[in-house]
Amino acid sequence: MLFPTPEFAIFFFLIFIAAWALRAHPEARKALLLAASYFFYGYWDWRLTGLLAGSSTLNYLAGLGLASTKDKVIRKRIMLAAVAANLCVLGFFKYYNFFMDSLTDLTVALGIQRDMPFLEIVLPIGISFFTFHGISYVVDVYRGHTKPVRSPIDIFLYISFFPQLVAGPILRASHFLPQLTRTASLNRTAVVFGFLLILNGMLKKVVLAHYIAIGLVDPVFADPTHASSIDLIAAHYAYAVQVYCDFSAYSDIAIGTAALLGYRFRKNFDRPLGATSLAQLWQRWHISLSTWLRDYLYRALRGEKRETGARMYRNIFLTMLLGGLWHGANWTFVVWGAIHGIGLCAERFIKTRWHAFRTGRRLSMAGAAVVGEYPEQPKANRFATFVGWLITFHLFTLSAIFFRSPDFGTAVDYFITMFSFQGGPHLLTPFLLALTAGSVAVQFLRGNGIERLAESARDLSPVWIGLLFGVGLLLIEMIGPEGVAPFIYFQF
Amino acid sequence: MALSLSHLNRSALTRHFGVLLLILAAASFGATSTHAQSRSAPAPGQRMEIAVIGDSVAHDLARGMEDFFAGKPHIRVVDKTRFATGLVRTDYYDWNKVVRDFLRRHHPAVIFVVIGGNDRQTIRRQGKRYDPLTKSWFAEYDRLVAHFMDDLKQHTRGKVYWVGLPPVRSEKMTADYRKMNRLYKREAEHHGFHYVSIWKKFLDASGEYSSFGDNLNGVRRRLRRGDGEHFTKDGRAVFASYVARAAGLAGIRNQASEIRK
Repeated sequence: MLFPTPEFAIFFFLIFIAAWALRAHPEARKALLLAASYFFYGYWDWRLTGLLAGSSTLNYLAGLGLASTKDKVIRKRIMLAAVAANLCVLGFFKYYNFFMDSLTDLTVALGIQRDMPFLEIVLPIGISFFTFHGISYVVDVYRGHTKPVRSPIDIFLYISFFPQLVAGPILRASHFLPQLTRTASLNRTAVVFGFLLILNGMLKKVVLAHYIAIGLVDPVFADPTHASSIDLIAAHYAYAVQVYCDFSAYSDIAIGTAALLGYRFRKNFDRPLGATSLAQLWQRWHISLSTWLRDYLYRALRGEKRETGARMYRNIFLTMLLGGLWHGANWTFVVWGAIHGIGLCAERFIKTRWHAFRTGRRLSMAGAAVVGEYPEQPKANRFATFVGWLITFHLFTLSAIFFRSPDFGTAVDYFITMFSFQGGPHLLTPFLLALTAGSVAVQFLRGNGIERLAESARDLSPVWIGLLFGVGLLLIEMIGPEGVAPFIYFQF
Repeated sequence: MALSLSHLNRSALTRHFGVLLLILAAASFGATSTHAQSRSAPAPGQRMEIAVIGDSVAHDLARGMEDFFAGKPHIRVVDKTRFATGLVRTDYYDWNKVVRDFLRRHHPAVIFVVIGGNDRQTIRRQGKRYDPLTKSWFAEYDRLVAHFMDDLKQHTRGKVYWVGLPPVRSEKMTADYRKMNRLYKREAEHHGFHYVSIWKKFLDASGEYSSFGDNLNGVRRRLRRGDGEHFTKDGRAVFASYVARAAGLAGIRNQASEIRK
């Protein structure tokens, strides 16, 4: 069930009414939301609900196991076993055939080709997200950041809650589980906030991402060798905008629907295309994944001690490389992750050296992680900020060519044809150019615009709020192209 | 009793000869009806144009054809495909007009058409709605397909091969495509086009959709992309090779090599 469809609208309307009718009965309310989440997931393929339930059971039992003992060795073993089991499930469904493909390439290259046992595996939608939820819960319980949950409904709901189930944002148990123990509440500001986020998400997905995709990105990326350089240049910018609009739209609608049910999710995107450094980009792009990688992968690689030098750079690079591979079983994602890993390392190295050169003292970068651990830096002037943005933006858009290409050869073809500087625009129209440029331009506006608008619109009467929301949805539906393209992040 | 010619009289010989001729004629008719006649290569210095028309699946075929005929300067593959299009949404992309314009400028000797994968949607015509895959939808869709084929037939002297849709991972879509293929086959034959079915080529031994299969070198590889609809590089090669052979173009490929030498 896709968010911008009548099916979801009916589903959510019914759940919204029922959930608030059960406000005084928290356990029944949670059971309703859990059942709704499984219905939502099973709507694609009901057989996959077994996998979701199995994953939830595994992590629930691991949590209980961790709670049952204080023995450090046993606790570590339980945690490692649970994480390994989660990764095995993810590895099988997502990477098995990729592994077989790569093995076939290797055997062909070595002249000892064999038929590999490929399996017709259907990638369960959202598996990367619910696996990360499970790992997050078990590791947090192990680290003592969150208490183990006794109620199976709570942990099952945490992993499967439908707004975030198939494409995030990735919730933290320590942030979400306490909300389940409180009585849900809804005020007018939260309603307006939820409605505005849903409208914003719908606008980005149904209008911006969709027009850009069908008009420019999809045809150009399908066969870059047949496109003109102008179209290729435009399409690589447009794709960066499309993937931002598509994914941040899903997050917006997820956060908005959760808000209407009385739950708070943290912001997942914060004007990332306006970032002036790679570190800042990763603090603003898919924040829940960046922080997840920082807390569970980077810190696992780093160990207990804070570190500097080559080990730190190695760990940053590996974190980004594996973060790239998380996006899909394809070498193109590995290359994309490697570009960002190298970029982050280079940026950190240059900044450290530049600071030392200017001030004569070494900038402490100890323990700097992928995101969120930068020490306070001297304020840059406007020109340096602009250059920083220009480099960051282009590194993001150019690396996105690997992200979007179905295979490495297509990405290479793309670069070769783009830099041949031949041919005029065939697909690029002023309309698509305006959509792309406009979407980048709004990234430089002040943040928290929706929060401020929700705050200022809270005095409107409920009738007006409902009416404006309905009219907004209708307008978006009217101006968008027909059909609903699946969200890009579903495949991850 | 041993049979020899000496035991047969003149009328019996004539009768046997007639039967033999009939069998030979039937056999040759059968051969041409099940396998397309092998084409002759273009004369030296002449270029043969092969057009591929349709949606993103057609694009996969075009890419595969380009690779299939790579290094054959006498054969030019023209990729006239457009993503996310079909015959239903004429307001978005009018394939009839596009094909008419295209065939005024190009004169391909062979045309392959693969289209319809995006057509499982509501048809809106003159204020009426036809819900996808209903009986009335099929009637209206049949009309659209026939109209497109009419235009194609009127504007080309080339051989037209209508390539059926392949099975896909989604069982529902596969079932729908099977029904749509029946319609394409019927209309193609009605218009004097050749219908090429690629259905069985992309099924496994149990008759189910499979993303994997032997590539042209006989190595088991992934043939379909992760979306379960489009083709990988190996898949495109298998797709194009199969279709080219069905259209009798494999010989031209070899002959063209000889001409070049």
